[in-house]
Amino acid sequence: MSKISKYFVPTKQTSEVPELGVKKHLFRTLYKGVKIPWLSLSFGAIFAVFNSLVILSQYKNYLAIFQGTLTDLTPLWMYLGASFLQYIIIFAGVLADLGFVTIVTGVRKKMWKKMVNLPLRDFDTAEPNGMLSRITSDAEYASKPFYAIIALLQIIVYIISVSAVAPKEIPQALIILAITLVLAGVTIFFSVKICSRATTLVQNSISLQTDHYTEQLGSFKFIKASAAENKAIAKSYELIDNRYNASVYNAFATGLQTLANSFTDLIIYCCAFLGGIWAIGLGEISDMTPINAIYVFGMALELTLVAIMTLPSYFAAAFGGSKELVSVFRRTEEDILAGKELPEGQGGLTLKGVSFSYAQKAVVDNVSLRLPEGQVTAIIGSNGSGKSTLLKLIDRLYPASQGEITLNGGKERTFP
Amino acid sequence: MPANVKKKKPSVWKNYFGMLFKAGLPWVLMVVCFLISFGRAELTLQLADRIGTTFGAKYANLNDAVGPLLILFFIGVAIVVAKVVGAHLQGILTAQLERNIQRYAVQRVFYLKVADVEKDDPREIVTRLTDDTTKSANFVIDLSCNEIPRLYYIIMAIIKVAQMNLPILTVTLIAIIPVVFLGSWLSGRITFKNRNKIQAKIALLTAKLAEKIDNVELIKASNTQNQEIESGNAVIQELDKVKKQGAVVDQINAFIKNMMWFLPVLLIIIPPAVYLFNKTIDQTQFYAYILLATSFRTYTAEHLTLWIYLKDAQGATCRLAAILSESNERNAANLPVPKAGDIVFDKVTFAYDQEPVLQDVSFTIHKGEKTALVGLSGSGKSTILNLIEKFYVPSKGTISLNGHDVASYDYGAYRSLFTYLPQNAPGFSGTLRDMLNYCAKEPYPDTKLIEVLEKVGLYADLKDLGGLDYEVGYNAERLSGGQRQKIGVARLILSQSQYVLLDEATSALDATSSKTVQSLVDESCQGRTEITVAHNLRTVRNADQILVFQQGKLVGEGKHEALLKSCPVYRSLVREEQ
Repeated sequence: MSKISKYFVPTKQTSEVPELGVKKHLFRTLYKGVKIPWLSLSFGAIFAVFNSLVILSQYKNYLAIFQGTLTDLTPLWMYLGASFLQYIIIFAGVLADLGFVTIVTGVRKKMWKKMVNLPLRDFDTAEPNGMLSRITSDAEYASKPFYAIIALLQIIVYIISVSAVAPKEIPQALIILAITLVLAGVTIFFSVKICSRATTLVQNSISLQTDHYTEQLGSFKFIKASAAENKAIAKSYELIDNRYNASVYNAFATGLQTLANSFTDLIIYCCAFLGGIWAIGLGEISDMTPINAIYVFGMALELTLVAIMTLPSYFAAAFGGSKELVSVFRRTEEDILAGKELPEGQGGLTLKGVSFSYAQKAVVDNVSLRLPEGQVTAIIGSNGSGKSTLLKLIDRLYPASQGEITLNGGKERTFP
Repeated sequence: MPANVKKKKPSVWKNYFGMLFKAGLPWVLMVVCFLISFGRAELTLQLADRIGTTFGAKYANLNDAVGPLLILFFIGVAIVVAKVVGAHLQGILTAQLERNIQRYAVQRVFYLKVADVEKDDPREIVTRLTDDTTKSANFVIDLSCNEIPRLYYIIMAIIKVAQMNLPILTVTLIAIIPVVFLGSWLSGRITFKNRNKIQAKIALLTAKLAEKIDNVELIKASNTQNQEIESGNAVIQELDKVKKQGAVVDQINAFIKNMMWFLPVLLIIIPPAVYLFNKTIDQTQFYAYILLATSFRTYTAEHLTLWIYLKDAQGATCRLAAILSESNERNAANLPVPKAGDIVFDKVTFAYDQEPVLQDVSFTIHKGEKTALVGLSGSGKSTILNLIEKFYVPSKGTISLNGHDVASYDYGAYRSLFTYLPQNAPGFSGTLRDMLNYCAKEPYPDTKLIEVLEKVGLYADLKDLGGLDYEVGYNAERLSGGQRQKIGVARLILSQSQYVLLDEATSALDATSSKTVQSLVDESCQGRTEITVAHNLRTVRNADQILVFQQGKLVGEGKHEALLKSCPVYRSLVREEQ
């Protein structure tokens, strides 16, 4: 872990808003003004819940098939028919998916509007594709809390119906079920966190490699001319090792994920075998039938259990992903219409002691000049002398850090 | 070249395994992973047997069931542990192999010949180094660790079912194989086709948004925020449509996939259930069959993973092997050490493709002098520098240094004689210090570096940004073109190499910088051999020898004054500049 943290590049905190009160306004900041398609979400939720009910209704038939206590073959066909129905219902869950897309689209539009109105400086300081990914990928997270709600509903219904239908002979199995479900939840939650971190690590390390190779191969002749092949190789080795470390961490994440996925099996083993031993020890059962029943019951519910196991991952995604979104929504916009007066006609521009700096370096330093109306003024100077920045300042793409620019006698900042 | 590739094709897998051995296979871990995978298959077989016997047995005293139940529990846990540990170790194993292949490939790539690299798109080579290596590793690991256990399980399961003496059960078990294959193939095809379509659309729409964000400066300057919000929303709305299509397609796929899962379930459940109902088999056999068949399905499906890895690896391996089989510039034998002297071109002809760029050119570059190459663009000047650097080999004629053919020298030792300053000196990410030390075998002391930086007039600019520790960024983009060029000159001053090659070194600079840089170069070239491709003729008037080229031919040589009289091409070049 410590080896990895060296290479882990944390995403820059773009927000300067204090984290206080984030939880309170999180949902309002995210969804205010976004249309939530409650109808299709509700139907999606109903189908999701219904799906586990269908298979539970077949529990008695399933048990009869397995214990060889059938009097005729109808339960077999009933069970198989119900399984088919279950798949159809899963398919109907597409309603919820469509609802999720609508939410994401709403948040995308809101984000786009917000972004266009952000000051230009915010774009300069962001990483090249950072702003774009707020719209294209981060917006996807906005639907996750709703996923989580539906999955939560599913688990509640599951627990209620299992305790209603489950073989009553071994109450111990229910206790074990509760414990293992909690364990599974915790494991999955962490495995999701660690997996997403591992993915970031691996992707970062690959993009470092890609950048390096692109840069080097783009100037291949220069490397050859400098006889610096070994330098390029040494740097490549460093990045290969970096990727190796990320991959090893990823292997750890994969292991954890496999463990999380195996909980569907583990829960059955624990409930049937351990629960059975426990019940035998207490002398509560007289033959193997109840243990057998729990095992079969577990197998029948495996598909539902798999669906429920996704719950923690939605929670992890919902809380992790929305942060970036919220941080953008909380930035200050350029006040497009908040100005006091509109500039009247045209007039001469005057710059008085104007300064501007990128980072610490002053690019425009204490410049004063007058640009008379209707005349062509040329700005000349060598590369990097601040000509272009001056234009950006006049166009108010950047705010001057010192001094003032006046148009037609009025101070520029008072205009919208 | 195509003929060459064809010839190599049959031996791709031979090359591939040769590459694996050269790169180094992590044997110990491979054996461990194989054993874990094998153990898991064996335990899965055991579990199927024992669950049936444990549940089917009649216990006189129920306490006798505790032992078998405990064993079942431990086998179950052991299977999970084997799965988890196996996944973890195989991840590490794949990472190790991937690292070995990458290390091996990268040191071959950087020693490839310039011509070989230029004929490919560099981005492709990058993919080979970053992506194809992973695909190769995935395939080898899955094949070597998991395939034998999988086959073992499948065969053992068939044997066990056959022993039940019910041919129908054996047939249905084997029938699972084509059903699983067909199902996975079908759903894989649909997924692949639709995904690609939708992905392409999403990429297109994303690109539209990206364009707007890239031009946000223009948007703000032209005060068109509201229009842009509208048109951006239109793009987002279209994205919404495509995503919804995608969601439906995904669900259809999931449905097909589920059906393909459901069909084997029918095969697994119906026959034994009917047999159990008829009392042809007992509960023990029923359980054994169901459990064997369920894992049988999983193990069969895993074969498709291997198939996908194989398909990926095949393409990747072809590409990797093609690169690695190119001859490279590393010379094994002990070659003569090059010594400085005159460089002589003797009847040299060279063509990149068919069209000759240089035709039958002969001249001598004298040691310690300044030689200038002039001519219109495309006249072959830069090609001469490329030939001197041994980036290319002349198609006819010879180039010799100090009386020996340059082909007889080791690339590295030979190139170390030269310092090369192109028109736009490149730079790589790292610090300013790295950039200055780039051509040096041993890094120079900081004091020396600062002294040179001051000389080229850069230190004042960069001091406040962190001086030598300033991070110059990807492709040194945080420096201006002029600054990068000045750093090139600084390297030239530091290097003290015998020869200096300048390829229009000042043409990208403004007038003042151009003058400063040229005088710095001339000053540092005192006593060295300077070969310069000139854009600005004023900078080479003082040359000891000027070579004038026109359409690949040498049309004049001599000093400025003499050429003005004797060479009409030179005269017109000079006139044009005034």
